Amino acid sequence: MSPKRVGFLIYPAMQALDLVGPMDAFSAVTLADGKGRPAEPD
Amino acid sequence: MVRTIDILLFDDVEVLDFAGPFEVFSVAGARPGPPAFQVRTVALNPGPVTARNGLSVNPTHVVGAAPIADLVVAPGGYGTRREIHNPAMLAHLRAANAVAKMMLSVCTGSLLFARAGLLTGLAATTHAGAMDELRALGTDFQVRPDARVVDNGRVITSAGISAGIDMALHVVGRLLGQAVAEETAAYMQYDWTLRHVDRPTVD
Repeated sequence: MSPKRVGFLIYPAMQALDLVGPMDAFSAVTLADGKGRPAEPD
Repeated sequence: MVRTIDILLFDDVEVLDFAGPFEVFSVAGARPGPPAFQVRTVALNPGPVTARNGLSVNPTHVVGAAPIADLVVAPGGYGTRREIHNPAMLAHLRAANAVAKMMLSVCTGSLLFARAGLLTGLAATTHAGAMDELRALGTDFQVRPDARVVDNGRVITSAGISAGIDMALHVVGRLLGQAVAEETAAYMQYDWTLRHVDRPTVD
């Protein structure tokens, strides 16, 4: 499975965590076939 | 009484590490009545910071442009592996530790605290995947790998990424009362279930 691109719509006065929560979740995904971002401790 | 809060930013900072406490303190500080907190994002140098995964952030302050805040938050992220070797960052943390009422770390932000000598005689935690890195930075502090939040009184550390939200809510509870912390979590629609806090000094 190839990685999917995820776009975030941002605008002034948006709620920071509304962006950052999903962004972190999608960024942390490791694909089972190893083609995604490897799990790394931050 | 307004308490100032500095959240340190640097390249490759983990986004949720700083945005979680930023949101908690901002929400708690924006309740009706006199503001309780003034939250600032602070970097060593002017200009945008590129956080993990390419998120560009514009810090509101540069270190030295304003007095050190009452509370200082050190987030984690890959950038900490560079910043633990940055004399300017370590000097700022030591200066902050001398005057701030509370020093807070999220995730691998505790590596910065350890390297700066802020953890001497204390207990601390970090991201589950970075415990050995924390241990390698000193033997004069205790590492608590199972803790989500370790509260030494003035120096508080938290585990990986999302644990910063729990730590910030805990601090809100300490400073403004548990009802305000509950109200903040409710406004954020955050399921605040992981509430255990290690308190080494009173264990």
